[in-house]
This record gives sequence, C-alpha cells and structure tokens, in this order.
Amino acid sequence: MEALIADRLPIFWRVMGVVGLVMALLAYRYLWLLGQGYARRAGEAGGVRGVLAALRQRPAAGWRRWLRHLWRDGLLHPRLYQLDRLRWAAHLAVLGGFFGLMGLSFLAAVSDHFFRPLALDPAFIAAWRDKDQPFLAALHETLGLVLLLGGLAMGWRRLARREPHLPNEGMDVAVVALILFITAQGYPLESMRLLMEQVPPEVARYSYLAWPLARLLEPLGWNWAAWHFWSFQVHVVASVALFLYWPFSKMMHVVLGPPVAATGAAEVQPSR
Amino acid sequence: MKPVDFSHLSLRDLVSLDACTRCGECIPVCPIVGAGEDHATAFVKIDQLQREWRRQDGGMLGPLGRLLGRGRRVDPQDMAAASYDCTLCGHCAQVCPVHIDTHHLWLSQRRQLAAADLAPGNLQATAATVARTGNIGGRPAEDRMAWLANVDATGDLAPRGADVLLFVGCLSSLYPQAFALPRALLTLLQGLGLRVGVLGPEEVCCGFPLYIGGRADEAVALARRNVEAIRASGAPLVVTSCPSCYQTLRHWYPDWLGEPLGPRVVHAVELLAERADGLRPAARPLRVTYHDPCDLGRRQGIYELPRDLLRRVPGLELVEMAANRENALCCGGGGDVEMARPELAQAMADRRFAQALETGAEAIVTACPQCTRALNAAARRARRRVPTYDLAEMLTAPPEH
Repeated sequence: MEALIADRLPIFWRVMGVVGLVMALLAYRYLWLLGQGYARRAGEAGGVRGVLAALRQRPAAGWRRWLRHLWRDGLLHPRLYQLDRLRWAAHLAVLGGFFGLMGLSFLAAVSDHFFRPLALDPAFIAAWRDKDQPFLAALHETLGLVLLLGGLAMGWRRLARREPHLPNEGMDVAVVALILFITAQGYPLESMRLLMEQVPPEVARYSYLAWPLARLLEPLGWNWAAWHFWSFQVHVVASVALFLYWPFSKMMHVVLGPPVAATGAAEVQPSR
Repeated sequence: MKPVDFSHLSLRDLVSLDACTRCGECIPVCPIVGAGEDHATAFVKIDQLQREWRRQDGGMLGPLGRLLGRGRRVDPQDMAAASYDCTLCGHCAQVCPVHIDTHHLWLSQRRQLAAADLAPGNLQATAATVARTGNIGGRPAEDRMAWLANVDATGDLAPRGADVLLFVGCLSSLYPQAFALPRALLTLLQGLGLRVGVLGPEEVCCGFPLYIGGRADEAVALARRNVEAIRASGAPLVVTSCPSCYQTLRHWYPDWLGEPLGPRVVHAVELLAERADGLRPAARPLRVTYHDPCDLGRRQGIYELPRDLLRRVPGLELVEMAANRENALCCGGGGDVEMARPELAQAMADRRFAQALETGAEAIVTACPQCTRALNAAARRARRRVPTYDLAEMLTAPPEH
C-alpha cells in the first residue's frame, strides 16, 4: 500500500497517458469525419487531409480580422453579455477557472521539460511542481473558487431561476455536475495532502480554503495517507470520465465554439 | 424510405453542430414558438442533425455516442417537418452566442431532405411549376408585364440602354395586389431622371424559392437564364424591391456561377437612399410603423436606410414596434412555410400584426412584397383597417387610406 501511495503521481500520469491516447484516436476519427464533410463539398481529398486543406484556406474576412473576432467573440462574448450578464459572468468564471487549473496541472507535469531548455533558474522550474509554493497554492485555491462560483451561478440558473428556454436534459447537467464535482473534491483532497505531509501552518495557510478544512478534519485522526490516496483515485476517475465524455457532450463547444464564433462574427454585415 | 443523405453538409456545418452550446437562447426568439409550436426551433434542428449525423456517419463515435445517449434515431419525417416549418428568418443566428450561421445550416439540411424526397408535396409541386414556366404562379411569360396594364405613359422600358434594370420579381409581376409596388418604384426611379428598363417576358424567377426549398440545381438553371438576359441588357445597375431576389442576385448568383454577375445589384431602399436628395415625397399626416423584412434586415444589415427615407416624408410620424431591427419578429412569409404550412405562416403574421397594432400606427410600412402581402392578409383576418404599404408606395402618391 505504501508503495502504491508513493507511486500515486506516476499512476496518475500513466492513466492520463492512456486517456490521452484514446482521446487522440477519437480526435483523429473526429477530424476524419469532419474531413468527409469537407471532401464531399469541395470534391477534394477526404479525411484529415481534407480538414488540413480546409484549414489552409484563408478566412474570407482575412486573418487579422478573424483573430480579432476570435478574441472578442470567441472568448469575451459580448453577445452573451448583452443576453444575460449572469450567464456571461458564470461562463467566464468556469472557462477561466477550468483552463487556469488545467494550465497549472500541465505546467506542474512538464515544467522540467518545458523550462529547462530555456536555461531558467532551477528553483523557478522546481517551484511549478511545489504544491506548497505560496503563490501557486493561493492561485490553485482561487481558480478553484472562481470555477465553483461560476458553477453555482449555472446551477442557480438551471435549478432555482429555471429559465424556461434553458434545456435541462441529463447530458447537459451531467457534464457541468462532473466539472463541479472534480473542482469541489479538490479542496478536501488538498486538505488531506496537507495533513498527510504535515505541512507547517505558515506554509499551509496559503491554501486558504483547504487549510481551514484540514484543521476541521484533523481531530478525526484518520489515516490521511490512505484517505488521500483513495480520494486521489476518485479525482482521477472523475477526470478521466470527464475527458472521455467530452466529445459526446455539449462541452465540445469549448473547442469548436471560438473558431465558429470568429468566422460567423467576421461575416456579419455592418448595420446601415 | 430513402435515408437522409448528409453529403451536403460542409465542414463548417458539421463543426457548427458540435459548436452549439445547447444554451437554448434560440428557442424563445423562434417565430415557431411565438406561433405556439416548438418542433422547429434551431435547438431542435441542430440536435436532430447532430444525432443523425453521428448515427449514420459516426463510425467509432457512433456506437459510443449511442451508448452515451446521443444516437437515438431521428424520424426523417420529423426532421423534414422541423426544417420546412422554419421561415429562415435568421433570428436564431442573431442571438446565438457562438454566431452559428444557422441560415446556411438550414439550407444544407433542406438540400439533403429534398434529395431524399422528403420536401413537402406542395413545395415539390411549386418547384415543378417554376421549372416549367419560370415563375411561381405557373403563368405564361407574357404575364410578367401585367403590372403595367392601365398605367399611363411608362415611357421606353426596353432593357437595352437602360440606366437601371428593374428586376420586378414574381410576386410584384404576377399578383395584382402587389402591382402598386413596381408601379410606385418605376415612378420614383423615372422621377429621379433614370432610364428604367425591365426584362419583361425574359425575366424568370430568381431561383430563391427553389434554392431555399433544397432544389439548388433547378435554381441555378433559372439563374443562368436571368444572368444571360441581364448581361444582354448592358445595364450597369440592377434594382429590385424584393429582399429575396436581392439576396439571390447579389450574393448567391456569383456563388452559384463562380463569377461576378457584372452589373451592380441594389435593393430599391439602397438606391433611393443614395439619391434621397432628388426625392420630393408628398406630405401625409400619418402615424406609421416600419416592419424589418428578415432578408433585408438580419441578412443584409439594412435597418436605418428605410427609416431615414420615411423621416423625409413631411407629416409622417414613425413609431417603433416593441421588436424592431435585429430583433424584429418574422411575418411568417419566408422560408416557403406558406407552401408547406399556411396556417403556421398565418399565425406568425397575426402575431407581428398584433405587435404593430400595439404601437397605435395607422399603417405599416415595409420593404418587401411578401411581407406586405402577409401583413395585409393578417389585417384582413383581424378585420382591422391598418394596411401595409411598401416604402416605395409611401414615397410616391399618398396611399388610399
């Protein structure tokens, strides 16, 4: 068990490697399907070659205008702001929180390979892997909090305000619930890590939500290493489920929405 | 029954299906919902297309998609009903946070459905009529000049050598209740000192109703006939009062033919706005509201030009409906819905007419013969003396009110 616990990160990354491979296969298949659509219309090569041929085309509005719309309409979404400010804020919070946490996790995993060629200070490189580095600890907590608040706003719209046009089908709710579960579960997980590693309070306090929770849990006196290990496995399984469900859920809009929005917005006729 | 063939969906169409956030913003603005039905919203249609595409072409994604609840079979008849009950008003695209080009998507969908013989029977019959006679009414080509009957002193309307070619369109050429529009426009253009020509029997349907019905090949065949006649006239400018003809001639013909049309194509509103200083509209103390035609407003972005022209009419008071400009309600006259489900088109027109009544306007002004027709029919059903006029009529002789 101790060996298993000690190996939890390598296990995590092996699982994520397999998931990544499956996702890459799905992505290839998806591109191939899209290529069929393009090929049939353009009478050109199908599959991924068709998609690449389509991508080589210049946007009708030109790249500069397209990129401006990618930033404006694909990420900032002024139209969403006009429609519903709460929805806009929730969307931005979930998007920013999710990708912020993803980015931090990614940098923690690859900091060695990513930063070493740049000949940066080894302490700087190591800091990205250090969960107790004050700035990163506080940033993790904040991004998680932002994501959760965005999720709560979403939940309020769906379940309390119950906007009549908002579809609440299982697949729509499930994927949002999964993201929120993974995020919320991150806090007790971090608390258990702080207890397991007996991180001193002057360091642990930068995890400003997980640390108070850890102090609440501490009197229970459980085997925090085991609890942390199994909680971590739940975190991994939920994350894997999210990534595998992604292509079949509404979350595909996260990947495809911005380019479609940029293309559509760039074509809008000026009002006169 | 033939399976629905998805070969007409472009890469962008397919990507758009998965770019949909399923947020439902398109549902409340859909005129179908306003008419008491919900089977043809953008939300429903995208969901149907996505599921059926994945089911038919999904390969590895297909079985997994079905396992995860996204692969339930869609009844092709349901898909056809949803597609052909849509007025193509573009309001869904207007509010879509992802800017999905729903108009293109719906046209692609209709091409597949038509190829699978799933288009409504009335629409297929109309398509056959247009292919046979060159117009939606199945009338002889000579009737294209019927709108000029009983008109004094029209001058030389030969197309060759004209400053501007008036593309009259089927509705204004062939249906007596719409004759006032081309007559008024002719008066206005000649009043501006322009030599106006018309194609007369050489003009055929622009192809719009066929194209939006999914019969692209037949539409292109009509386009070739019109293009040949337009180019032969040598006119540098083509003007039309129909937003559908305008969209087709200006944007779709070059796309269909793979080359520029040649002469510039403008809607009557654009030409009149360009030459507004030459207009001398008669005074009329009338309270009017302007209805934005979908194909001129949301599709072309023309909102202020007609309003500016109306403000030039002395004594005219312009009041706005609750839903105006980008958010204007559809009159139900678009998308060939009238051919497939006339009662649904009427319900939409009644709703828009009721909104016009709320303004206290004595008349409605628009810039589309089809909207004019739909709203006048709604007034008759409501037994209200609030007529709808085309903008050109409002800028010429005072209408009988």
